[in-house]
Amino acid sequence: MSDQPSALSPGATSREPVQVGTALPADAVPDFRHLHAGHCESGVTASMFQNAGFPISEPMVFGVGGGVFFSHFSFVRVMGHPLTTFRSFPGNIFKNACSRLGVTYARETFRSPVTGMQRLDDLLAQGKRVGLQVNIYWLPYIPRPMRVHFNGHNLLVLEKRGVGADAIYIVSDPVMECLFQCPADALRRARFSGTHPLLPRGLLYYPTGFAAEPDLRVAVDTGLKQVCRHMLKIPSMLPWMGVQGIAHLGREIAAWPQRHGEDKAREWLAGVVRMQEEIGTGGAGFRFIYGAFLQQAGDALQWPELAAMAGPTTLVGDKWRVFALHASRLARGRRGRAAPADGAVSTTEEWAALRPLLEEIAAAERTLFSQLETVRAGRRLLGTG
Amino acid sequence: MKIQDVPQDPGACLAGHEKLNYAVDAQGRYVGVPTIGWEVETAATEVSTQVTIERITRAWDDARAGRTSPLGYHMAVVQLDAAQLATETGLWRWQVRRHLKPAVFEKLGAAHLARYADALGIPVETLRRVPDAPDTP
Repeated sequence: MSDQPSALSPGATSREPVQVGTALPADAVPDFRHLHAGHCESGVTASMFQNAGFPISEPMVFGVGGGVFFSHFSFVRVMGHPLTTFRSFPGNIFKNACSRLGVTYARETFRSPVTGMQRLDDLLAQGKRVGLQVNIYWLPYIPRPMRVHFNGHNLLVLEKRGVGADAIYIVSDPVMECLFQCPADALRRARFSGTHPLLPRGLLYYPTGFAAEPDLRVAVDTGLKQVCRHMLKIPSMLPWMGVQGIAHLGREIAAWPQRHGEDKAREWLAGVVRMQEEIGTGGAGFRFIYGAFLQQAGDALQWPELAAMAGPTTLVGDKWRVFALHASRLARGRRGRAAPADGAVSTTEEWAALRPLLEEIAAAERTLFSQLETVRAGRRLLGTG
Repeated sequence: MKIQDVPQDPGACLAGHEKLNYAVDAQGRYVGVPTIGWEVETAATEVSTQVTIERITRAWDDARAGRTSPLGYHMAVVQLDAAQLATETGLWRWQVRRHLKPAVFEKLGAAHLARYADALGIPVETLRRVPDAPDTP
């Protein structure tokens, strides 16, 4: 028996001493293939489907589930930051992917943590692998810099080992490359944390049945339709959402230093970069994973025009990466240093320079999703597939 | 992004773990590529971490100097403000604010202390004290 962090071997029993919040090899649970994914929710969903014998990739789940979106709400504060998101509302990817692929599912929330934990244990005892929506802050295996109070994180629970206060759960968190052990107490806190409007209330979910032959063409088409509508068809009186939201973010950022002071502006700008890259988006705020979806869907449906849309999507993603580079540089900036002698805000031009970058991205995404709509419409008119 | 352009910058952000990016190969085919991090996102995370550290240190100073109760410090460590701690504990926001006063906190009953300790994930004895050094990320 070793004291190594990964001491729990596949054959370990619950009597062996267990290290808190430590890593396990990806193959530590027999009959389960851990999926390393770009994003938590599409990763959990794809992992559930794959391990149930339904071969579908993470990008396909993401695209069919209509995961891509953009919104920036300057008047909604999450952990003191304006809300910026590159994806649809948590929970929607799973629900949409299931209903569009003919998968039936159960989603349960709980008033009481005790009932919620008991229900999880009961399902695990039945041999089910259960998806959870949790507050990522309370997960001890997540590296500390990434632990923020975000209630929309998803993971898959594989089994419970031990009983009572010493019990641990083996979890498959798709944004990480390996399995982890999570103490029962921490998991309870993560499931029933109440610090955010997106209260998970112990939400757990799992598929209950799979269609014999899902209609992939309709599923892909519905996913495309949803994303095009949400990105392009938001009325202009709601400037915070869709492609117009990207340009809106540019205008807001340029105004932050004057309105809120440079320190606050830097903190918020760093937050935007984190939402785009660090939290698990597959890169470029989900744009690369969406490109992978277009390619895979196009190939699977013998729809070359759709597969060809992966190219422009990659280019848009690359623009987002350039934005992240500039934004991060500016955010790091000269925090805490003395203001220039003349008292003027020295970096006004630098902040203003982010605006055309985002306006260019907004225009590029408008073109991209308009083209996607055309590709969709062309397929329908031809009546093929 | 091409496979060879997927950044592999070591940094504290992922603590030696890997996450997954999607990138294209020479033929333009998308594949998943594990990455240990990107200095751009590490820098952004460091900015956020720095803000958190400053907040915790300030709360620690205040609690040590007796300007706030130990609750103020422990609340800052888990990155909650009074409003968030209120939803977490099921108390009213004004109650949490009141309990930030040292005199009020001193007289707090066992039930309230247990509620705070549970929400903050620490034992009651820890909650009543301010440590010798702030616990920062």
